[in-house]
Amino acid sequence: MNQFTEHFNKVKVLAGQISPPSRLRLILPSFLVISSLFTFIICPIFFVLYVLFLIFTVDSHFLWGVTEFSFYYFFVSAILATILFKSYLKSNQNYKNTTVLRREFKLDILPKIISSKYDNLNYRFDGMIDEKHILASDFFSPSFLGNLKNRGFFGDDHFSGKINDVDFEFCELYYKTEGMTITGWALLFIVIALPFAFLPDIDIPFLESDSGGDSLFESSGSRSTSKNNEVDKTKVNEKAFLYGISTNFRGFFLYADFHKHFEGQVNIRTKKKFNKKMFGGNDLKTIRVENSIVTKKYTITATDEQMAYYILSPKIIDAIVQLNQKLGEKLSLTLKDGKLFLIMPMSNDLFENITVEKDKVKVNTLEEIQKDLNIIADLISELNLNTKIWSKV
Amino acid sequence: MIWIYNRIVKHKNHIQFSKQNIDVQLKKRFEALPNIAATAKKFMAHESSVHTKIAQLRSGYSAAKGSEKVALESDLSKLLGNLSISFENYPELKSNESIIHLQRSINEFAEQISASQRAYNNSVLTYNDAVSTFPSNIIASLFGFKEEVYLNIITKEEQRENPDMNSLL
Repeated sequence: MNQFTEHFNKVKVLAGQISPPSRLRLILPSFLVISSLFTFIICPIFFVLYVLFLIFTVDSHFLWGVTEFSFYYFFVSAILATILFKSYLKSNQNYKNTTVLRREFKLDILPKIISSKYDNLNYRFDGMIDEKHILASDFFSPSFLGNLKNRGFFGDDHFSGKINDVDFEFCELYYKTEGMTITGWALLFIVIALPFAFLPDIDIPFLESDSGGDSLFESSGSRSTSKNNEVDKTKVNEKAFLYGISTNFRGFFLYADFHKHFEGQVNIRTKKKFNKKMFGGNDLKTIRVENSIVTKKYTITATDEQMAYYILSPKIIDAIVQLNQKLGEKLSLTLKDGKLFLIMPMSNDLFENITVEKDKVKVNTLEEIQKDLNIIADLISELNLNTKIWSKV
Repeated sequence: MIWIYNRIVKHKNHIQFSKQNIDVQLKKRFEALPNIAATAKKFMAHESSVHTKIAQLRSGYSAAKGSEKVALESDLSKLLGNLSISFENYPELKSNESIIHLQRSINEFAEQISASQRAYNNSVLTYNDAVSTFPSNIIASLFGFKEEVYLNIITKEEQRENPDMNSLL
């Protein structure tokens, strides 16, 4: 028993009061899935039959009608089923890991744990590292950031403090965009393009003057503008189906100022790609270090070869190996002008894991929170190994 | 074929560039020797052998060539490593600003030389890979490109003698 048991129990009681979404909500989407699969089979069969009849100069309106109906029914029912399924899954997700519970945990328990155990740490539940540091890290390539009009970084669980003269900040970071998804564009293309194939006798100039596609884009644009100020900051991994807000990156971001001096940049990027576009390419020189684990798992590039080897001393290389073992090989680092940036994708919350499964409510323990914080403290200590490295004589 | 040939030539040129960089770093250290000798003489007057040897190394360096230079560099690395360790015998010096600066300088030079040596060896590795792997090895043998030797100015034993600043200060 510790002083936080009461708080943990309070969250558990609150979590236990939440009921799961009704399974009856699955009936309609299930029916739509089955019927769309049926039409998926029916459509090509009737189309082939229609073509065969045409060869024998019989124009069967019935066969063509069934083909056309099943084609459109397939798309409409598939889209409806996906929307309904996603709605159910979202309700289920909220039930398992509710915003209310997380807020209770973050506003009540976590700050008390931090202040009681770590006097050198400041905590802000909705804070974020300054965006200029995020952009300075060069983890997010311009092509990754610039494609969509409405985008934004959001932070959560922001910690700041000082360990061994190293000023540091870290938080959970989200990069969200709002716009048409690839599926949305693909479906739009299908909806616009395919009638041409099925209705060959349609008057093309009439369709061209219709500009249906353009008006849809315009309406999409105005919707995104009106929603621009309402971008959801909550921590759920959002994934828009056709149009909406999508979480393009979710992970841990650390910024540390070692107050040391060197000019230039060294990028250490994981080869385990979690988002191909995120890092982008660069014209920096590739560096090979002596450690086979680092060479195998990371791509190292630098502005200057001499400076890179100077910074990446054997001890720093060993520290990277240690970090790789502790945090996994998806972490990436940037060492730039005496500062360190670290990024790592995450699918789970770092500190507030509250899950409700059937009658069991699981809240992460004090020990788990301390373990997470100790890993980060070790990380900074390991990278601050050698006072002579990076220091200007 | 032209592309492979040009690639090997570029790798070879890069080795020369890395070699020049090592020379620059070594020269920097030798140029700093009078200051190091002066500081050692001032604070460790009775350790006369240290500054005598530094003076000898400095005078011998300008006349030395090729392998002699490498041998002198190794001797110097060893000597400077020992000098840093000998500061431990003088606890009163540990907080002295000049000594702290001297120690940092010695370590800085060692790190910079080590970095340039690793950059050189990486260039040699890239070149040797090109010379010895198929199909570029055919072009390499046709034009007489031979594998280069890795450089090892500072031996492992000497590196071990390089003091840890954290423990000293």
